[in-house]
This record gives sequence, C-alpha cells and structure tokens, in this order.
Amino acid sequence: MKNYLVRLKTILIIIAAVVGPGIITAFADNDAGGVATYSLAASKFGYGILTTLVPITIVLLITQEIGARIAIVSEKGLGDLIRERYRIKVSVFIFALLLLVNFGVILQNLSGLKSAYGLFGLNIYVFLPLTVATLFLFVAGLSYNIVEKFFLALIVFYTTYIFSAILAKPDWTQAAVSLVYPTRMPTVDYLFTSVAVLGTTVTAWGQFFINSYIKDKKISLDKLKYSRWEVYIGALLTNLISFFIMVAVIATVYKNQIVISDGAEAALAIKPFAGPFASYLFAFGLLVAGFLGSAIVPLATAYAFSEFFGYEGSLDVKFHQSRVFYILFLLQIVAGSILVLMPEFSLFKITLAADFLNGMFLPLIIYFLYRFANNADIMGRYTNSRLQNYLLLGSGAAIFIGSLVGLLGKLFLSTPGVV
Amino acid sequence: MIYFSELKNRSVLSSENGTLGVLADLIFRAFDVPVITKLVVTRDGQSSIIPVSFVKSLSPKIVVNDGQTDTALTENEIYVTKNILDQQIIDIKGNKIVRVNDVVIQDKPQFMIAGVDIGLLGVLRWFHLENPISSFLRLFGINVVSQFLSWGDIQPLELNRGKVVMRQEDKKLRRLMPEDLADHLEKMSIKNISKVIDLMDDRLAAEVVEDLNLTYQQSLFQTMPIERTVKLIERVDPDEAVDILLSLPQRKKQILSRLGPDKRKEIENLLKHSGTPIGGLMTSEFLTCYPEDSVSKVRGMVKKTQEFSFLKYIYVINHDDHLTGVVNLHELLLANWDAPIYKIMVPQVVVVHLSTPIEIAIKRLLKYKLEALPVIDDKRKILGLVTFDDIAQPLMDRLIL
Repeated sequence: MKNYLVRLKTILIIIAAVVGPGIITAFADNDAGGVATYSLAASKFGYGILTTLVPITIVLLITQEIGARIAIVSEKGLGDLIRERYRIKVSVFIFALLLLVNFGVILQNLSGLKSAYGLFGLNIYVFLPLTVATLFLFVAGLSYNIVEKFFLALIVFYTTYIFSAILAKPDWTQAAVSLVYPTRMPTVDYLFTSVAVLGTTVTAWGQFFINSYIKDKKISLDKLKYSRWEVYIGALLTNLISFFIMVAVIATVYKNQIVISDGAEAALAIKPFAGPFASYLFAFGLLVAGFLGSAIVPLATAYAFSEFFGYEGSLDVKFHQSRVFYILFLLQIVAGSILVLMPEFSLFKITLAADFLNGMFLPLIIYFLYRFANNADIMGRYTNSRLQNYLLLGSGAAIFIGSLVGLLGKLFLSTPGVV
Repeated sequence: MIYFSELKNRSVLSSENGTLGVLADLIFRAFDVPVITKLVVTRDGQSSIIPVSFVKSLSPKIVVNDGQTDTALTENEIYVTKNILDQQIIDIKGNKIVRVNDVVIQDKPQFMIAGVDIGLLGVLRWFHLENPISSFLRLFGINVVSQFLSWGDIQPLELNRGKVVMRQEDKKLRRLMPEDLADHLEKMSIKNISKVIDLMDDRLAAEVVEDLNLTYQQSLFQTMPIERTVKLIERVDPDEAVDILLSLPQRKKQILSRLGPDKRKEIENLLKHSGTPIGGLMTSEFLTCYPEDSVSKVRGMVKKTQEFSFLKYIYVINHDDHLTGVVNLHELLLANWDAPIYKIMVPQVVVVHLSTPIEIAIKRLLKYKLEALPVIDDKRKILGLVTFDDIAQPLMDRLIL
C-alpha cells in the first residue's frame, strides 16, 4: 500500500513538472478565430468536414512535439536559435513578421471576445477594457505557477462545447464514421476550407510559444518522454473539442441551411434548434477561447522579442525585472482593443489577412524547425527521424500551397462563405 | 575603438597584391587579457587564417602584410562571430543574461576585445541606421547611448559551444577569469566567498584573492586557517601581500614567521618602508568623467582646469564613483569630437591604495611608464593622485642613502 502511494506521488510530481506547455498551447490554438473557422466550415460542409480533423491532429502533434523536443534538448526558444544561427538581420525580419501575424490573431480574439460579450448583453466599452486590465494584472502581477494554473483552469471551460454538442442532438454514428471515412468528394472549395481549418489549428505563434514556454518552465531532459506525451494528449484533446464544436454547428446550423459568418453568429443560430442553454454554452466557450487567445498570443510575441533581442523575458520574474517583456504584452492588447472597439473595424478583412499571413509564415517556421531538429550540434541524439521529417516537410508544403491558392480563390473567385 | 559590425565583411587588402577576401571572423584568446590573435578571411567560400602580427591596420582599411597563413588555433582561442556575437552572455554586474548585439574592439596598446554592445544602437549599426535613427530621436529629446559592457563584466554563456550550466555555480566560476571572478564574488556575503575560495586550488585562490578589494581580503584572512593563509600569501604578488599584511596587524607576525625564507625577506623588506604614507604625497587635483560623456564635453572640462598644476590623465568613473578606466590627454586630442569616452578609454587602470608602501608606488610608476597613479579606497573611489613629481623627493632620499 505504501509502495503504491509512493508511486502515485512520483507520478503526480512528474505530471506537475510537465503539464502545461503542450495542453495550453494546443487549446489556445482553438482560440476565438479557431472557433469561428470551425463553425463556418461545419456550417458549409456538414459531417463531411470532420474527416479533416484526423490529419490536422497529426500535423499539430508532429509540429508541437518537434518544438517541445528542441526546447527541452537545447534549453532555448525558437527565437534564441534563430538569432544565434541566422544572425541579426534574419532575426529582425522574422520578428517583424511574427509581430504582424500575431497582431492579426490578437484582433481576431479580441473581436471574438467583443461579440461574446455582446451575446451576453454586456457593454463592450466597459467589459473589453476591463478584460485587458485584468489580463495584464494577472500576467504581470502573479507568479508563474498561478498564471499557469489559471490557464489550465480556463481550459476546463472548453468542455461547454461538449454539452452544447449533446444538446444539439446530432447523429453521433454519422459523426463518428465521418471522422475516419471520407463521406464527401473533395471539391476545390472543400480543400480551401480544410487548409483554413489546418491554418487556424497549427499556427506560427504556437510554434514560438511552445518553445518559449517549455524553456520558461525549465523542463529537464529526463522528462522528455513525459513531456512528449503531454504534447500528444494536448493535441488530441484540442481536436476532440474542435470535433464537438463542429458537431454542435452541423446538427443545427448546417442541418437547417443557415448562413453564418463568425462564431457569435453560430452561437445565435444554435438557439432555435438546441435551445437557449446550448447557445449560452457555445457563447461561453467562445468567451473563454477569446480570453485564452488574447492572453497567449501577445505573450508569444513578448517571449519571442526577449529571445531575439536578449531582454529578460519570463513569467517567472517580477514586473520591474522584465519591464520590456510585460510592456510589449500590454501594448499589443491595448492597441488591439482600441482597433476592435472602433466602429469601422472590419473583422472579415482582418481574418482574411491574418489567416493568409499565418499560412505564408508557417512554412518558414517549419523550415527553421526542420533545420534545428536535424542539427546534431543542437539536438545531439534527439534529432528527427525520417518519418518525422517527411511529415513536417509535407505539412509545410501543404500549408504553403493551400494558403496561396486559398487567398487567390477568395480574391478572384469570390465564392461566398469560403473561409 | 572599432565596432566589429564596421569590420565584418569588409575587404581585406594585401599590402602588395590586391584583395585577399573579406573579413569573416576574428579569433581571440578568451582567458587573461582578450587579445585578438588571428583574422579569418574568406574568399569564394574558402577561408584562411591570418595571424594578427601580419596586420598593418584594421581601421579605416584592413591591410595585411603578405606572408604565411593558416596557422592552427591554440588552446583557449575562440571566435568573435561563432562564439560571442548574437550569443547570450552573463552581465555579471547587472546579474542578468543579455544578448550581444555588437563587439567592441580596442586597438591600443594592441588589438583586443574591449567589451560588447548590448543596446539598441548595436542592432541598428548592422543596418547602418545608427546615425539616422539617433539623430531622429534626438529631435524628440531622446538621447540613445550605447549600452557597453566591458569584457571584465561579462561571462559568455557558451564557450566553444561547450555548455556552461548556470545553475551550477562552481562550474561557471571555473570558466571565469580570476579578476572577473573577484568582481563576481564581491557581490556575495563574506561567508559565501570563503566557501568558494575553500573549493579552489591554491593557484586560482591566490589569483582571485589578489583581485578582491582590501576589505574583503581583510575579512577573509581574519577567519582563514593559518596554513591556508600562508600558502596564499606566498603565491600572491609581494606588493599585494604587503597590503594584505598591513591590514592584519594581529596576525602579521604569525603569518610572516611561517613564510619561506626568501619570500619572508622580500616581504619584510617592503614592510619596512610602509611607514611612509602615500596620503602625505597625494595630490587632490584630478579630473573625472563618465564613460558615456563625449570627447568634446571632456575637452571642455579640460579647458576649465587652468589652476591645475598637473593634468596628464582623465579618470573615468561610473555613477557609483567607481574607477572604471583612464584616458590620456594625447588620446583625447586625437579622438573624434563626438565619440563617447568609453571608446577611447583603457579599462585596466594601475592603482595604489593608501596603505601601499611608497616603494611599490615607485615600482609601479616605473614599470608601467606612467606619470601618475590614482590612489583608491576599498570601494574603488579615487582619493587623489600620486604623481612622478610627488615621489621624486622620496626617490632621491633613497638613492642617496
């Protein structure tokens, strides 16, 4: 009995040491922009779109694992490695792109938050600034451990989507079959949408964030095995939630052929078919997603800045020691909120631009991951296997071609509803 | 001083037949004084190594004499680009980790690494935007200065890609130079210092103790077992040994009696003259400035010193009044009017303490061919100067005797 307890304790210590980076990054990938994209895709293609979830899970799993492994073995973030190996000019260029792309994603999240507040009838001019202030005080004022637990607690609220899906009374058998068996002939339109879904799940900022966060958490090499599983579990759970988001929309919005354009509209459209409670749960999920995204994405930029330019950047130190880090975090959410609160702000254009930029940027990041993960100088005996390389490069190519074709399609074919 | 960003990828000219290629890297000795030993020149993807003895000039043009190239690297030699530039270093004084944006090279008395630039200007310099942006910011009253750390104040995190693990204090310390180590130790409590010193072998311990300031030396030796004290005193420079013994009146005799006969004689001889206080010879006329002051500002300060009877050096102090460098008048006149002082200062200053015997002051003036030595207290604050004129009389007395 005593032996058993000791073993349990060891397991708990290991869990505490590794849980966080993989799960938090993966769930933040399902941010407000993600919820919007999933809802739109599901409302357009029904059960057929669920097939894309399996390959997306694999790509997320592969890229995040490589990022986590690089961070654990080298004890460095992606920004550190790019600066040290590719020098100052490349660093300035990559950071400028990251800042731009991330700002687009922050705008998506803040406007997601804005519409979620709207759904609950809360005054956005009061609650959005209040959210920003709370976020900043939380991140800058509290210790690393508490901030991490806070993020993990937020993730629990994603389960609202599960209940929302159940209340929508979907055809579970068809949903399960569609996951593994393609029920739809892939059209060009369908492919565009799949790439958009992939692009909102696998993100450039996510790659930077998982590295920085693992470095900040100081996970040691002997925990690599466990950390890997944490990343896998994070990716699986995240896509499980994506599955429920889509199912909830399919069973209501798609079934009744309603046209929606974002996550908030999806929440509203659910109401007449699944009841107000399901709608509220969905809207609450959107709120949590927007909140998590608005916290994590600017944090990813701030981390990357510290790494590229050598400022002290860690959640683990007090405000005055990491002033640049925290101020950069604050500036992004304040500037984003001001833009989002302006009446002429167009979410549609921003979403379009942010998704496209991310799609163009991600292959570049995948190139760096490929170079670092195969460099024995950095990785020692933990370099990539051949399979990992094929999968990594394959997803890089797919994202690049997809986002290029996707943008052209959106600009010139102007097919309505394509995400 | 020259910035590495101004040298990198610049053509390397041969004094006889044209261009040899472009400068890719510099090699320097990472221990002791960081002297630059070799240049790495690349041409069409081929790189060759040229010893620094062949270099005629680095600035404004890199010109080298013809001769044999491709010398092998020796122990402790590392690269600027590969090992320092863009890498993380420990800022020992600030006690934090920073990234190197540019490397500052000193060309006098020989080519060596003066320190690193970790500021915004270091980044902008690579884009040739240093001047436009700083003049632009000056319009708004923002004055951007270089954030310079001298070599003594930093510790590269990775040397030769061999990782230095920060968490293990002793491993990191082994990589430090003794004088840096001393600087680093002075941040710790005396109890911790003696613990660290206990771990070191006699040779390293003596070198480190020598560089600690007098207060620390005094407290350290008051508690150290006599056997170890004697071993260390035997190894430190006799000048320093005298300073230390003078600060330990109770243990002086005990320590002296256990020293080896030759060493004992040497030290006793020096101690005999310790009655002459430096304080009596000291001049209190000296000029100080801050490292970031411009040359033109300092020239302006010099113009206001009509009443000074002696002015050959301007001493550079930081904002805590610690002595950090020295500039001689000649260098000041030759430098660009808008250059900051730290670009032309020599960071290694030869000093004396109030308790230093006059013998030693004379020896130091002669050995380093200086005309004055600053007298500093335990906190490296300047108290005054001992000039060559001041010691002329005591010197005469000794010659006649």
